[in-house]
Amino acid sequence: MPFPILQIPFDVRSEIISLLRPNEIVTASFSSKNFKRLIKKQYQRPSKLKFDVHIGYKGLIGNCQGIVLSAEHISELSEKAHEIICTNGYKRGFSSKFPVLYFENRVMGTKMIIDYVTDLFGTCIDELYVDRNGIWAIDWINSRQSKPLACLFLVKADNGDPIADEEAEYVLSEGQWINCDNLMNVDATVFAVHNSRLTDSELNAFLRHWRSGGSPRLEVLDMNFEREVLVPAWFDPELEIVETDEVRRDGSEMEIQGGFSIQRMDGVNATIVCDLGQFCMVVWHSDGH
Amino acid sequence: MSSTEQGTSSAAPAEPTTAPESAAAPEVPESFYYVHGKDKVVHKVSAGALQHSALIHGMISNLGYTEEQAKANPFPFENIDGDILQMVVDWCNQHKGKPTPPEDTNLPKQKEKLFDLVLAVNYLEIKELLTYCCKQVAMMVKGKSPEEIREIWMIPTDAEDEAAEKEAKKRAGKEAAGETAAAAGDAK
Repeated sequence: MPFPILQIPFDVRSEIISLLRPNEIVTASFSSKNFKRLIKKQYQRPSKLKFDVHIGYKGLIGNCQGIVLSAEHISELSEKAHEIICTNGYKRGFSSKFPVLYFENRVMGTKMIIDYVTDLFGTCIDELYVDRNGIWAIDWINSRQSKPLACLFLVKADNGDPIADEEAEYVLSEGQWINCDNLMNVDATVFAVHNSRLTDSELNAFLRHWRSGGSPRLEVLDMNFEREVLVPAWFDPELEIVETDEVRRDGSEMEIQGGFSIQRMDGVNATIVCDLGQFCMVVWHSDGH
Repeated sequence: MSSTEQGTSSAAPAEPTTAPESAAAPEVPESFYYVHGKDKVVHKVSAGALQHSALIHGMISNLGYTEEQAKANPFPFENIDGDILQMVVDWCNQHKGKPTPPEDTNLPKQKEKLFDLVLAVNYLEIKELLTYCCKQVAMMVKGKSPEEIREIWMIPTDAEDEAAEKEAKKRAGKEAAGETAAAAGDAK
């Protein structure tokens, strides 16, 4: 039985819309341009609503409740063609929980879903997960929102990527994926790198850069390495890194016990914890992060 | 004018059934009020049950009616269908003096009545029941595609919206032209 939602009072409609999950809000917004405008006006956005973007062979945007919108390459489309709606410059399908948009150009598609969701909810992107193909998104996202990305996760390309180019595989296998320049230039507060192939001398170069005031917003650098051996012996003596038995915790639940202490020129301290194949650096900003 | 009591269809008002109380609890006389909808069927409802409605509760507080005065002056809700008012009264009675649970299984299941129920509950300012109704409306579109949502919530398509907008502009133009002609006629 249909329910004429446009005929009910503003406040009631606003309450109904605000009860929807983010993926349902996005789905409903595709029902008409006018209804999308109405959602933008009437949705009472929770203050903690944040979105994450995952860029691999698909572009996905979502939050802790799940994906809200996806951008896929047009080559993924063939089997579902009967359910597809052709609309302004792209084709649209539905995956049972969220709409899927199909594009010839994956970068353009990913940009479009980010624009769409951030405009609909009037919010920005909080976390970004990218493989080598999505590096462009770091600067692009940071340049289009006033609040920089809170967390950045660099991940290995998905083996299931049907159109992964050979060059990407080559770059990964040669260990040039995340190099020292990437590490120094990404202005993130939380930076996680998996399966890194950075060398000891590159890590020392990064620490020298941080010590002299580089990457000032960095709060956590969390890396794991393909190689298993990672021992404190590689610390450059000029960095004046000293072993510590301190127990420190930040404003949230993070607690660090022991490890190594390094001090920036301006007096800010950081603790480095190394284990087999692991490197974690936590910066103790004066505001408690 | 016929009357019902707490959802029953008896013609004459009778004493309401009250929840069993412990023997030690002091007997507090309960006051009753009377409401009717579009069908003029009068419902006798306790003040405790009516507390759910901010609108009626406010009216009761302001009027200070005696039992006789209340009986002689049922609150008229001419904009609410009789069966909808019956649903509302039943819900208020079922939840009288009880904390409202997060999910309500006593909500009317007839989806065709949901629209009228939402309007009535919003008018009567019954916050908890309105929240339940809103949840039910939100549940209607769970797992649905944009096209299915458009059908369920009766949202016009972009083409329909554009046609309606054109029609409204045409009508406004005609009305403006008519007014100009009438003003010119008056001036002559």
